[in-house]
Amino acid sequence: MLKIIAKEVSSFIERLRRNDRLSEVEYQQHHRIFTDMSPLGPVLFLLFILAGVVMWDYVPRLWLSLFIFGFISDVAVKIAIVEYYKRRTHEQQHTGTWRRVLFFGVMYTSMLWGASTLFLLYPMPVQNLVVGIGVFSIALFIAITLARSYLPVQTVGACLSFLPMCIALLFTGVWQYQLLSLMLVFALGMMLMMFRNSAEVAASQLKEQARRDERDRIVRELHDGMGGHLLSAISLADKEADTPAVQIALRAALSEMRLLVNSADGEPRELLQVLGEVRSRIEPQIENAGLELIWDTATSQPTPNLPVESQLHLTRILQECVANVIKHASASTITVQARAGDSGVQVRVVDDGQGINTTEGGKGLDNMRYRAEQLGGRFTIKRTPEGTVATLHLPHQHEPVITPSQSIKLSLF
Amino acid sequence: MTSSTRPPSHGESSSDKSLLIVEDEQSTREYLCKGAGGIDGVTVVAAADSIATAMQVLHHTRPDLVLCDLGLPDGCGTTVISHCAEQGIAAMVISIFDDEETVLQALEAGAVGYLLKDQPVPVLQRAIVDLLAGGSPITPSIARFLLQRLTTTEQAGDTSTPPVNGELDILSAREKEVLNLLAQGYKSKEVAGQLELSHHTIASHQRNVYAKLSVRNKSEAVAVAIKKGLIDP
Repeated sequence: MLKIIAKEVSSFIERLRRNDRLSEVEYQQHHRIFTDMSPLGPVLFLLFILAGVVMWDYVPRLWLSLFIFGFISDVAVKIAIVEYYKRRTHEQQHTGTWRRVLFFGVMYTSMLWGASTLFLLYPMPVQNLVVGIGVFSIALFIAITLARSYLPVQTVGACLSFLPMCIALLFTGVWQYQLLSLMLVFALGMMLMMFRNSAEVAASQLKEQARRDERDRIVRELHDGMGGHLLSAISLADKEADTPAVQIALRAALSEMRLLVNSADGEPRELLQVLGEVRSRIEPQIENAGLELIWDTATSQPTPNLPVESQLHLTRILQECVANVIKHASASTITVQARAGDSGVQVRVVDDGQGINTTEGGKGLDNMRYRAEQLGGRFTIKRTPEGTVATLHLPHQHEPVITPSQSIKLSLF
Repeated sequence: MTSSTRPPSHGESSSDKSLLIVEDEQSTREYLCKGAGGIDGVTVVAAADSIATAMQVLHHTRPDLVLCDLGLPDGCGTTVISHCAEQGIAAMVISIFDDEETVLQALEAGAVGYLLKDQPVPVLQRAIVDLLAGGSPITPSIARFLLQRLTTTEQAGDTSTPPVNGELDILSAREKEVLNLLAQGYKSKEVAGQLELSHHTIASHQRNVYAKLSVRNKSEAVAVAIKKGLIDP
């Protein structure tokens, strides 16, 4: 049986390794949706300028209408892509539709204004523009090829590929061209800013998503792999009547695994509810040892929400306290109390045994103190006439717990 | 696909409560059969190792209680559970894990209880007896999941969607109170004592909440459909 478990563990680790690589691929696929849309705007814009320049001599008005049509269709396509992506992944995009329209609107209007000033006041030598576009296209092509999988690099590349044209325009010595160049630089700056923002948001969202996927996978593996084997080990140990210790150890292992699986969601939980779950974990142990558990956690004041690390610390402290009482105290009852007051929350484990020998439980005690510190609290053990009282004192914490999704919102606004 | 039907031994009367166990792992199945069979007045009529076998058994017998695993070779045990719920047969989940997703999935399918497989025999027996007597064994974590699931829509209630089937008051104040205490680790009996209610009232509150969850599961699907059709086509 132990061999089976060992084998399962190693195959589990191997699967996790494979999953690591898998999630990396998925991560990049998510990225591609963003990258595919980023060069669309500039390319459309330039195509319409080109069309306008070519047809300028024949139909002057057509250029303007084409340009406006290009601007509208580009914004529409972008919004459509983003909306589609949003629907497909059921994820909230933090840059809203109107924000996007505003960005593109300002960007293109400034370009339009600059360009129309230029075209209306001064006839454009076609060669200059063609050279500029040529340089731009090559640069864009290189940027896209090199940075296929990484959004920020690619976007920056695409935007910077406008630069040669801007510089070329600056050196023409004609103020209208120079004005257009400045307009372009301004527009590019805005675009970069926007993409930097959305890239950051997207990257942190994707990281969070990848983390969640990874966690789900680990949980699934534990579920389908380890859990079953541990359980059959327990049933097998049950058949042989002389192995109660093995059974207890295996149950403890399964129970530990369950604790990890259940805390994998990373959700903060209310202190009293964490204690509630602790009860269902420690009570069988206490009953097994022939002790009585008195549960007394009624408080009139609300107790704080604990982040997942704190939940585990609290659980471990209580488990350790109970294990100590069972092992050393020769008590007959254990009382778990929780009281919330103005100064904070106190969780007490009281037993009516012979008291503790502080030198004996040295390491366990240090551990509990350490965990209490991690909780931002204090752990003390005292002997009183009614027995030994282990107290965990948790002061009220004022700093809010910032979850990843909240911090993303903060960075945007 | 094997179905081991135990021949009734002597001393088992026809008034015995009948039990069907659905579990694919052999040693666990034996463990459960032994544990459940050891209760006075309870007969394990059949032990199935797959959904197909379980459905076959349910086709010609009507057990008082079904203990059903979730991960079965030919699908998820919730198929069996929803079948039982439709037939009015009490079904309890036996699972290795009690994480939120698994628990809610089972309760939404109509399970009336949830038990961890590795519980020692006395705990297993107590849960079965409790269920047969009309109770609904519940753990603190399950109470917490139920509270979360049945009250979050209320807080996040977005005003643009009309509540479906009075979704806003899906839990009565009393039910919330009971669930809250259960989530804090109090036993049904202790909750009864604190609220000065009878043990049976608490048990019926628990079953009501389970029922509401599986009903809400259906109405939620409707709500989502309406929302999609009306607001976000």
